[in-house]
Amino acid sequence: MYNQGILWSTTTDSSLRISGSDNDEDDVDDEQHSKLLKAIGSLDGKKGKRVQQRSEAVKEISEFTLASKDGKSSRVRVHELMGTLKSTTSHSELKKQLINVQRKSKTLSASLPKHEALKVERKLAYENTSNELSKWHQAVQANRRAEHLSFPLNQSTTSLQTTDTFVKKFKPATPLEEEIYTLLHGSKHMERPDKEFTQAEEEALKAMSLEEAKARRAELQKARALQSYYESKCKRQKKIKSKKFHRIQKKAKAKEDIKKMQEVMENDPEAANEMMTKIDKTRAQERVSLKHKNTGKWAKSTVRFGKYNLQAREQIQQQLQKSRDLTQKIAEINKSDEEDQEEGLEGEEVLAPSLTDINNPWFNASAKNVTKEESKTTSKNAKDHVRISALEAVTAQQVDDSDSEDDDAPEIIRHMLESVSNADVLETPVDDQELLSEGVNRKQTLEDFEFTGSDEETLPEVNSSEVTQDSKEYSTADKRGNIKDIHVDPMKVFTIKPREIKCLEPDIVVGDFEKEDRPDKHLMNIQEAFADDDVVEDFHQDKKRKIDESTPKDIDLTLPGWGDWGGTGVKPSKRKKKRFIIKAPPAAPRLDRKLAHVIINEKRNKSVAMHQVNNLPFPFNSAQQFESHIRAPVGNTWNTEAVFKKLTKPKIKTQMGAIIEPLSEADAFKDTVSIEANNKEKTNKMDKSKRKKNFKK
Amino acid sequence: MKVKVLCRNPDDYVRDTKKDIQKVHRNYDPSLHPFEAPREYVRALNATKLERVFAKPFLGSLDGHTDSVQCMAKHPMSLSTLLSGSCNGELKIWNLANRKCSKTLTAHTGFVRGICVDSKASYFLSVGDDQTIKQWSLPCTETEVEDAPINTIIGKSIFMSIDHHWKKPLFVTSGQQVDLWDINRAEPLKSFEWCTDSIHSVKFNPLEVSVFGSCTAERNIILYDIRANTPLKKVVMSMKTNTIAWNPMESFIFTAANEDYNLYTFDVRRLDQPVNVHMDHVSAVVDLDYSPTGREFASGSFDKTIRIFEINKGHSREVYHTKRMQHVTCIKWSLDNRYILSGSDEMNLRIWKAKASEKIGKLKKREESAFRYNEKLKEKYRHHPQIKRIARHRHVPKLIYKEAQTIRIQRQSLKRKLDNKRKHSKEGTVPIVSERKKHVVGIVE
Repeated sequence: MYNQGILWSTTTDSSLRISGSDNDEDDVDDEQHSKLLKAIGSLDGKKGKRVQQRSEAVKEISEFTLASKDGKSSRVRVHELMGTLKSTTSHSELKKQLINVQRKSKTLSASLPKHEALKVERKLAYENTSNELSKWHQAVQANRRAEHLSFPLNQSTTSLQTTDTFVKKFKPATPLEEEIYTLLHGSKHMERPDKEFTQAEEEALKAMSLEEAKARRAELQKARALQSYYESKCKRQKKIKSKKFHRIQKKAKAKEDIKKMQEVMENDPEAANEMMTKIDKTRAQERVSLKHKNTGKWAKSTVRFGKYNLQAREQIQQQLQKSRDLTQKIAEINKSDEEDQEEGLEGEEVLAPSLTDINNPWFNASAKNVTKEESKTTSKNAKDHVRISALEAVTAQQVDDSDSEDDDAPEIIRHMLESVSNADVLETPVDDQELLSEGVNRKQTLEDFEFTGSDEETLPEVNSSEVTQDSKEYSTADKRGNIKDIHVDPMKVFTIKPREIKCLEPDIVVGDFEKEDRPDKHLMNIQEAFADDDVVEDFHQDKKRKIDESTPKDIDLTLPGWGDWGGTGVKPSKRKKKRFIIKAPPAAPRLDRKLAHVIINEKRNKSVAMHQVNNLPFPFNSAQQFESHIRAPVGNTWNTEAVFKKLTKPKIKTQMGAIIEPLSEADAFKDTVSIEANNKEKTNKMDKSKRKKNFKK
Repeated sequence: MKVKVLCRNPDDYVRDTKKDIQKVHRNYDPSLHPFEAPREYVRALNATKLERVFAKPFLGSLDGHTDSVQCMAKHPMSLSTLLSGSCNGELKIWNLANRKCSKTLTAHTGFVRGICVDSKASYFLSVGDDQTIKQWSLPCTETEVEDAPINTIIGKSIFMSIDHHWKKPLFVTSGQQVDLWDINRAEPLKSFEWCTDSIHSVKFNPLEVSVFGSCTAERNIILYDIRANTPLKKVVMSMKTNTIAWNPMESFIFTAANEDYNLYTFDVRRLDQPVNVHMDHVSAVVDLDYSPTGREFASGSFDKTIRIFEINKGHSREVYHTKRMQHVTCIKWSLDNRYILSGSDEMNLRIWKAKASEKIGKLKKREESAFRYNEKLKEKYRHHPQIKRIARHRHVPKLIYKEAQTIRIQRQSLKRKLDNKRKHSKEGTVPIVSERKKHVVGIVE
């Protein structure tokens, strides 16, 4: 109201000022002006001071004189009252109550509306639950990242007990076991795992002098080593189930026996005599009995029914042979051996012609020479083979015998005796040996093979230089010569370095004929065989054509007769050539430019492109990466079995008929649980140690 | 005369006994085995072709129901037992090994809406349209199941679904509200209410056992915790979700089968957008179930097909269909990860192989290693166009093929339209929305 009054007055003033021009009112004007200024000043900010109303004194100044000056903080605070109580000792109950009142004096805010409250509750519950769910995060991630998972996840591992683990766990139960245990573990002769000697041996060594001890030690070592070798050998041989092996072993044993008998003969004539009598006895028995004759039931039946059965007949023959062997007198055996050998030779001759067949054009030239040589050697052999060492023959036959039937000891001894009795036959002259070696050229040692191999290797190098020269000559000649006479020149070949193939087996075929000068006839035959089939030249031309096709060509845009004279024989001017012929860019270097014998097709092959990947697949970052991934083979053609298994291990493996249960907490929090347990243990230990310390204090 | 050229020791290559492994001496020098990649490529190609040749997933059907199959439940202890409920209130217990029904129970009047088996397999529960929950005993041999239920609880409204707690003797039912029950009590322990419409599916989380999810008719997926007094969160989708399934190996992952032909995999901790959208069905997806390994799930749809999805892939790896199979209503993945079981409208249950070309039965060592090798090769060369083409090729019924085509065209046209709109309007006014974000309307806390 007051302000309005002022405003109104100002407006009236201004209207006065505009309208009025009275000079006698100047003083009043000044007063009014100051009033106006005041009024304006009061307009902004606070709207003027309120006029303090008059109030009763009673309110401000109470009878207790506790009210403040303004009367605003008219309330009484508890702590203000407490001040006076502090000094007193009587009102303890009241004090306590007041303190409690002071504490609980905070007021609660008004409760939220129901839907808001529920929302908050839900939010809280969701947060709790999602936190709980996140605990699984690590386990889930581990499972996702795992390369191989085998379901069900919590499978107990079953494994076979090894002997070591069994021995470690073993405790003797029965009295017998206990006895053995004490014997084994208490005695000094037990072998110790990390020491060379037993306790007893060591003691013995200590008791001896140094040299003695050394000798003894060496002896012991040797003995032990030999024993172990023998044991392992026996074990190995025992395992072998091959019949052939045992046959061979038997033969070796028989040989050894013969040697032994020889020694016996020399040293102990009495024992030898006994042997002789034994042999005589067996011979006599054989002669008396019908054991190995063809009068038995089996022999008769086989003779009757096995007319066309080669095997049966052979068996009968073998049996007869045996009886013959047993009944033969010792001295007579040599002759039959020689006969056998001769028979063998005949067999050899049958083979020979196939190599030097007259009808074979490839060997035409060298055939004659070879046949000559062959005839020479055969004639020589025919003579020499008669004198083949008797010992060899004897042993050979002996071996045969042992093969067919179970051999008796006396038989072996008899053979041995034969060899001894015919000692003069055993010695073969030196020149004979040479002849022999000429007849049969079989490579026997590895060195021999290596030698021949190196011979062969040196040969092609020499040839290759010749070949290249020849091919040049030929190509020049070919250009000049007429086409009808095209023949294949066997000399004209690609000179490709032979690729080494690592192989243990040496080459068997020995190129004897290569060393000899090539006969013309031989060459002619090849020329005829491959007439008009000039592969090399064709290839060269083909390649040249391919290269020409692939190189980009200049584009000629000149129009003959345009802005120039036309007609035949008019060549476009230099200027025009320069302007209208667009030069092709230089061709990219071909992949096969350095490979003389290869054409690499660099064009995009549609049928191949169909099988190729167009875009780089997702997990790979570069083409090289992808290519290397593809290039590494997985199959067991290229990888060992273990690697193959590892590579092909499936991502997820399930057991047949096994129920897969959901991931359990025990599995998921295995690591964390164990860690927690460790921590707990640690803290427990710490506590204990602390307690101990405290106790000590 | 016999000339011996090579000398071999028979011990190197002859087996001692017949049961020994063959001694094969190989030289692994790479120069002796050239063209690794091309040879393996050919092998991979052959392997993929053979896989397609041997892809015969259908094993057999179980017929016996006299109305369409509504729900199924697996036995947690026995692989050969399956429970199924049909629309006429019939409940059957099947023996899968000899493919025969071992027991038939008339459980409810009207639909059997849901079945669940106790984790210890001592009893099973069923709910139906007659507003009852029935508890049945489940002895070791199915024929001993009694015809009358052990216990019957009569509710106030229809129960749409039921699921049992994975460890405790608790179960939840859904209908007008979600109720948590103790097996020994006739009254629910707790009721969760957050919406007015019916809740047609509830599923317990197999790992974090106190958590469960539900789907409502108002397009919501709601999460609950039995320890909390209120539901946790609500996701509103663009269309109704039919059911959800929790991943048995990943506690916070669940997949929702939606009416909009897609499946959505969610992470509970980030519900604002799905982790993955699985497309391929051409009609509403009705049911799904995870494989026990948690790497794949199978879904049954109204389009009469079953599809198998890998959890991190957007499209299915396999589609199963038969001429006679109608709308698939329920699907289960067997607990040994080998078979898929489906129930459909035309009253049959079907058994499928989870891997179409897998050889059933015990494999020999060599077979196994060969299969593994082929598997590896297929995986290695999967990017090559020919192999990809052969491996991807499936024959589907014409109806589905055409429908997929129309859907594709629709999508393309929609995309084109949006692109054009974007091109001709002010920058930023038509934003690019990713496929994942398109289908989630929002989250209600």
